[in-house]
Amino acid sequence: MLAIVITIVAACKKEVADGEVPLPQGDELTPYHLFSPSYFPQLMIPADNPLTVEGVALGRKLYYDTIISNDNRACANCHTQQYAFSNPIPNSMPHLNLAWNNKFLWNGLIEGQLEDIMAFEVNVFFNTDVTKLNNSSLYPAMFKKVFNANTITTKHVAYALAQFIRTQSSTNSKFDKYLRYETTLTPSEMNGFILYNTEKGDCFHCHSLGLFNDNAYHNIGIDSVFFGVNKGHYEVTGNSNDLGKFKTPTLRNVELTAPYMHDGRFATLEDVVEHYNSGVNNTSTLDPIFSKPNHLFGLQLSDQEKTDLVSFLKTLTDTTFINNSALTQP
Amino acid sequence: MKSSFRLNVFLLIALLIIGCKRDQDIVPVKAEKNISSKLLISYNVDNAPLIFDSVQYQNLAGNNYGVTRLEYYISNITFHSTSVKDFALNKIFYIDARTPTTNSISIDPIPFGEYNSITLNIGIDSANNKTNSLTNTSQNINMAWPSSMGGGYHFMKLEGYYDNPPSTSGFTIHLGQNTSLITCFINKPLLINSSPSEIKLSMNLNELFRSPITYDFELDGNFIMGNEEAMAKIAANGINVFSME
Repeated sequence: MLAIVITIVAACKKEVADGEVPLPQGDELTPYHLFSPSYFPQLMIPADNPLTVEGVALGRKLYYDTIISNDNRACANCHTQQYAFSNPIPNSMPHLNLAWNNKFLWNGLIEGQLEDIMAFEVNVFFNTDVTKLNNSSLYPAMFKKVFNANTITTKHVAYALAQFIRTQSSTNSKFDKYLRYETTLTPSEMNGFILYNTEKGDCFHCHSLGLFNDNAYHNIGIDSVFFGVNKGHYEVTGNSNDLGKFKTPTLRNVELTAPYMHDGRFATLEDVVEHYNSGVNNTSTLDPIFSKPNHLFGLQLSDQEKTDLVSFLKTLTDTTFINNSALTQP
Repeated sequence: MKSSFRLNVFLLIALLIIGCKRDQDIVPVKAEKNISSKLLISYNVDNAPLIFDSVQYQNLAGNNYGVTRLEYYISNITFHSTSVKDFALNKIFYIDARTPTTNSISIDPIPFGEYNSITLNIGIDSANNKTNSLTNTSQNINMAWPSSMGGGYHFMKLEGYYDNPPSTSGFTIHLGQNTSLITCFINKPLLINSSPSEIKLSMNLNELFRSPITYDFELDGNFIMGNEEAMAKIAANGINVFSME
């Protein structure tokens, strides 16, 4: 009887497809569940780097450890939690909700997944010396457990960092609570929200609700000529149609991520709004969305409307995120 | 006891045979012959291939223009026939003209037969044009039409520049809301038989600005989201925007 049952089970067992390679796994690993709000895009996690509690812990350790550089730098030096993992100096982009992004750095030098941008950071930006990691008393056992790696490679380091950075998710701002019917917006915040989502303020086309970016590049008219870092995505493509175009930054926690723009030219949110209101330069690559009716290039907002817009932007500040103990230095 | 054992063995063998039966072994009672097909979409402006980021086209109103973005949904693709049953695809497809993979659409197998015409919507019908009704891909989120403006999705985003001496101006032809749904009509016979089908559609952008209403960016609007009159003109012109090669 037992033999028959075994035969049945064996006969019906799913065959492994040709070319299907089992995932590299160490000892028992604990799956890590990352919360994704219903108004976010679908979360994409590559099959060869599933989120695990142990992998995230390893990435977190590396994020704060200068061992990954040769000049005493760690990721956290330029990505500080109190600034939503950005930093005023050197005006670094925030690390938040990158799990849902596929374009990275202001000029879009790297496109793909977090593993790709982390490979760039490890191999190029930090030029990580894995010998130090392999010789450390701590890391070999951790990498062995997470990746079943006998020798730590830069790919393993990038994958671990990608796991941790995937967990740097900001989903509990006042605006999120408003969407969940847990709070209300003040009249000024509500006016700003409406402005944001109408043609008058017209923020929503690029800073789409949810992530508050659109994973795309735009020239928003901050320059009339382009040189140096102001060339934007052109630096990557060499295509003159990309001059002055930059990746749309998220507006989540924007209150904490001053100064603004790729070169930090605007100190305050008020300065930023005033740019859109009256400072747009019309160049050949200016995004068409800035051409308003009657050949106007500014938003023509009143002082009250500008105040309201800034009030709304501040509802995107997520104090839970910047105080999340799971993201602090271990 | 013995008979009980035999019964168990019989049941297990039966289970083995039924449980391991492959899907392809299951033959439908009445098989309808059909064939997998693809829709391939290309773009032109009065027969000139669409090249992005270059002001080199002219519409009937005399606007010299170029295109930087063309994203839209197509839905309710229906193959009409007088000899066989009409075949309708109840799916919504997001298209980005700049992304080749989105312009090659695998569609459900089409039953063999002679079809007289195809209709399809540019946009999303009212039943589905509601905020968050589509799966939250990053494309669908970026196509959202704000709730404060009626909700649902952009049906089309056509953007670019046009000459407006002494410089150029941008245009953003954004369609949305149920009244600007375009039902396109492609009147050309199509035979679906045993060969795999590639149905080649071509969108002529100038049709959006030509007939029955000559559309002028200067007079009718270069920035039309929320401008129902302008959206209606584009929607009326859009009926003939597709042709089949």
